[in-house]
Amino acid sequence: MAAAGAKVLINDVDADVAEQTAPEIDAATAVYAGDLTKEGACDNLAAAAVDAFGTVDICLNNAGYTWDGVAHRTTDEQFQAMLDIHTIVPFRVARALAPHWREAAKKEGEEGVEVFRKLINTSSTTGMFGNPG
Amino acid sequence: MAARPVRNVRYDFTHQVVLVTGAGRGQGRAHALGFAAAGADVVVSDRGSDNPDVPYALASAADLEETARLVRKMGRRCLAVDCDVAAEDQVEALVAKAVEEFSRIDVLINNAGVISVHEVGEMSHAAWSAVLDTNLGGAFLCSKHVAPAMAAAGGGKILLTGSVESLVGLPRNTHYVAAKHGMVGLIRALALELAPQNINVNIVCPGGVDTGMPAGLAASGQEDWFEECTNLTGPWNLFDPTIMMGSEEITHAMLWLASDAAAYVTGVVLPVDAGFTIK
Repeated sequence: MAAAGAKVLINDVDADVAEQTAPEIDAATAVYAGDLTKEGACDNLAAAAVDAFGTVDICLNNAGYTWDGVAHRTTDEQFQAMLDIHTIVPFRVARALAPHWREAAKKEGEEGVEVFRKLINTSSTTGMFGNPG
Repeated sequence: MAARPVRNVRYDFTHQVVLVTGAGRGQGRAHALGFAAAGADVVVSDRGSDNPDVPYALASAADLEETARLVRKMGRRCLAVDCDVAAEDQVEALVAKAVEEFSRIDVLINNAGVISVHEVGEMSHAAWSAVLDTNLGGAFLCSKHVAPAMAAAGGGKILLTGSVESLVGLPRNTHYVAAKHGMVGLIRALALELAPQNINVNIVCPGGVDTGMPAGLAASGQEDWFEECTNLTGPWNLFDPTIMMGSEEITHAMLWLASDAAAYVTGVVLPVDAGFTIK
């Protein structure tokens, strides 16, 4: 994205990693570090992006990890953790961005301009075909 | 609202040769011009005559010549060949001429396709065969005969024009739905078999596109069919229900899939349908 000219806000659960990566990106960058499954984190993420750059055009919901286990040994905590990061966080991020996007689109509509913002979720072939564990 | 301009995407197909079937007009012509604009030389084919089992006028030989003229106007070379893709001898001859002229084929776009509208009980076997033999059979025959040339050159890209009807059914279109669904099976089989030869095989599934096909259907007395479909499933275009997409929207998907940017994309079904199939 940066190589194509975008300004980028990055998030990682690990603040040190995020702070180290930001200067490696050859573009204007901002960082919002922290665990997105925590209450309010997704709202803060969206607010940080809007504060840093005034607007958001593209959101890439990429944060995710695996915590595999065969079904009879998978705990409620494991299952919930997977739902939280892969499903609930992307929803909350979309919800947090929606008011900004709706307002911006209304203004642009009045000016006769069309801006097609993009929300991209990173899924997996596992989401289409299944996988043991 | 007006159709969206594409502002920020460039492709480079310099030194590549692209073969597009059904290029006399519509999406085929748009693909020929889109790849030419990206630097490719182009082989264009069309049957250049009407089909008695297809109820609207097909592209003429003059239409195909016009496509070729437009490609040459961009400074690219263009070979135009009359070919009914349902006829194996004609497909063999098309591929032979393309290889003779350009020594290579890097991208094949199986775009030739026809449609008609019949209740299943009224659908003659001839009407069924016209659609199956052109849409599905043509894609098989062209892919069969182009694949060896691609393999010999170290790889290539085979693309098919599917349809939203590759994924869903629509009324009075038994043959077209069957053919377009079958084309999905075709790309999966070919993608599997041809990957060792570095050939990617994918299908783009357009929704409603403003070309001679819907115009032809309307002219042949089937103008209600589109409304019948929207009454069933909602609008053809979620962004603007009053317009159909331009062919260039499909060209962009073809350009991406044919490019190095899609090196590991194979066997995929890519709807470009303004949201038609998500409802």
